[in-house]
Amino acid sequence: MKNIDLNTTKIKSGFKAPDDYFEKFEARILDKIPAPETKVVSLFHRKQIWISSIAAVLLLAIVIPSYFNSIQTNTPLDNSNIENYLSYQTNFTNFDIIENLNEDDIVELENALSISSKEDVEAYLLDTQNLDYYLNE
Amino acid sequence: MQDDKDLIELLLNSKTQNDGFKKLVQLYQKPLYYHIRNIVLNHDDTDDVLQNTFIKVFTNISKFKGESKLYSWIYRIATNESLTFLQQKAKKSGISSEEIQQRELMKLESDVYFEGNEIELKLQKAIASLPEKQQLVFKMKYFEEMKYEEMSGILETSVGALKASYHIAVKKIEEILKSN
Repeated sequence: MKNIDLNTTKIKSGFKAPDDYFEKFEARILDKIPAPETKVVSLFHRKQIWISSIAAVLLLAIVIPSYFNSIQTNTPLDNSNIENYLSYQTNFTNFDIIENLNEDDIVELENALSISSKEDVEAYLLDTQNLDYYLNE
Repeated sequence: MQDDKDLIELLLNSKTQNDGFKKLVQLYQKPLYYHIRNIVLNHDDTDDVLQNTFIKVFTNISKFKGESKLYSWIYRIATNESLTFLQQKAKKSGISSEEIQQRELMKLESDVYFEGNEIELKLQKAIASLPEKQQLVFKMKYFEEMKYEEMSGILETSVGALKASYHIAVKKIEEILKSN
């Protein structure tokens, strides 16, 4: 065989594909590719979030009222508490109290003390230490 | 590179990956077919390897780091798939890859999808006598007319080494053709 210079002579590979092979190949390969992955969300995980959320709400429902209850005084303000408070507050005098009483308060006090009988008035006058002061007034 | 980037984005998005894959197949199916056919020689085997190559590209696109061109990465997969296919076929038959190649060459004359005449057949036989790497370099340069830089990206070999390899392959083949 004569000399062949491959740098100047082009010999084909000789391979060919069947007619319409490439047109059909495209459809065939598209059928074979794996379907896109769908994100799997674990039911257990979702359930866990729900349980945690409910637990947190319940905890808050218990803790918040307890907290506010704890900062409130446990003993209700009754008359004896107010009297004790006023007794120990040296800034308040009987005069201050009298100054702040109006007509209604006096009527109410009269009713409460029920000074209906002469004996009651005498007993009151005997017990009252500031009697001289009131007499001078 | 921008085209590569657009194509990869299409392939990574689950809503557009089918369109992306269609584009990829349209772009690469012909050149990859002939690249694989040059290695495995018969059409049916080429069809199997081409399918495997595209499926591998599709399933591994998220692992493509962009360190090389998409073109080089796809061709590298196709080359490895072809060589692995030949090795597995040889293993199943209990013979070597070279013997498998010789068998396929014998069948070429009657292959309906081989349209070569005497000189094409002689050239194929001459190529088959070369070491595997030289065969690859010669086929990619001579038949597929790839640039050395492109081949370097696919075969991960320096341009200088590829030039030397091609030069040696050409000389050997010319000698074989002359002696016949």
